[in-house]
Amino acid sequence: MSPFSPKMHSTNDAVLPGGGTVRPSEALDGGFSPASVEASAPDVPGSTAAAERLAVRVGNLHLLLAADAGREVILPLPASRLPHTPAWLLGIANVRGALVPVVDLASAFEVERADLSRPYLLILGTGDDAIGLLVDGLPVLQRFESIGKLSGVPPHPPMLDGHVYGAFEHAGVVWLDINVHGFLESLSELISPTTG
Amino acid sequence: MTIKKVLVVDDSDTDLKNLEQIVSGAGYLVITAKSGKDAVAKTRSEHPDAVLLDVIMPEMNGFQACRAITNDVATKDIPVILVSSKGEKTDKVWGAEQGARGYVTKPFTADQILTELRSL
Repeated sequence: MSPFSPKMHSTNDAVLPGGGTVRPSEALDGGFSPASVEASAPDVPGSTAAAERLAVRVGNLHLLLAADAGREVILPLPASRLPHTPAWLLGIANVRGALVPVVDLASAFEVERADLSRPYLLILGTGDDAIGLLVDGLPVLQRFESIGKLSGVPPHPPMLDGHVYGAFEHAGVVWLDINVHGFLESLSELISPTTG
Repeated sequence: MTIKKVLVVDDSDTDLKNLEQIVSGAGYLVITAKSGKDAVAKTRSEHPDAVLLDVIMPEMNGFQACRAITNDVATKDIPVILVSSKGEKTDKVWGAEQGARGYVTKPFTADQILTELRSL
């Protein structure tokens, strides 16, 4: 059985193993367009360099985005629903005066949200191009060694079809390396109102 | 590390002037920028000893500028202190993720700014 939901899609048959003045160190203790979002560059084949990615979790999915894709991370804001839009589009949120569409990735990918993780809103893009992605726990920048790179594309939600560069295995967890630009483009198409 | 030259970045004229007066009043040489992109460019060209960087700015915000500075081989050793009205723990952690060495929440006092600079 797939490590993800029964509705997962696999593009191959690979079998994969299955958060006043404060210093950061103190803190640590205690219809859009994707045009302004950087595309994650796939690693050069044969390269031994480590790849830095923005690691995010959505339920039992572990996703890697371009390291500089994230503009900021905020606590979820109330979103006003839009009629005739997919359920995973939670609506439009007011982020300091900017209207930002908010996408519930767990709903979009049809996975259960992680019970113990606090949800955060990861903001990608700027101005009219901004979008908020609801994720589980704080996204973190992480380096992945090429030795952990898997061959083939692991099972993934249908909505990610064509947007998974590959995957890394790290500490027993499979991380899907996502083409952010392509994924946001397909989301944009799904959100855009139909005409005629 | 001895701090002599400080790049102060803020898109607000008022906040920029305030920060500039605090820092220059303490004897530091001050250069200024009014956007994230300008901050990255001046960090490369002026090579300051430290950067005081506002977060909420249009286009490239302070988090993004910080990452650009701390990821550039030519500027990666220049410490960046974020200065922002965004005071959530999330913001401080995210700032640290982008390479910031300090975080001061607005409204700040002169002592808070100077303490951060002296701690570098």
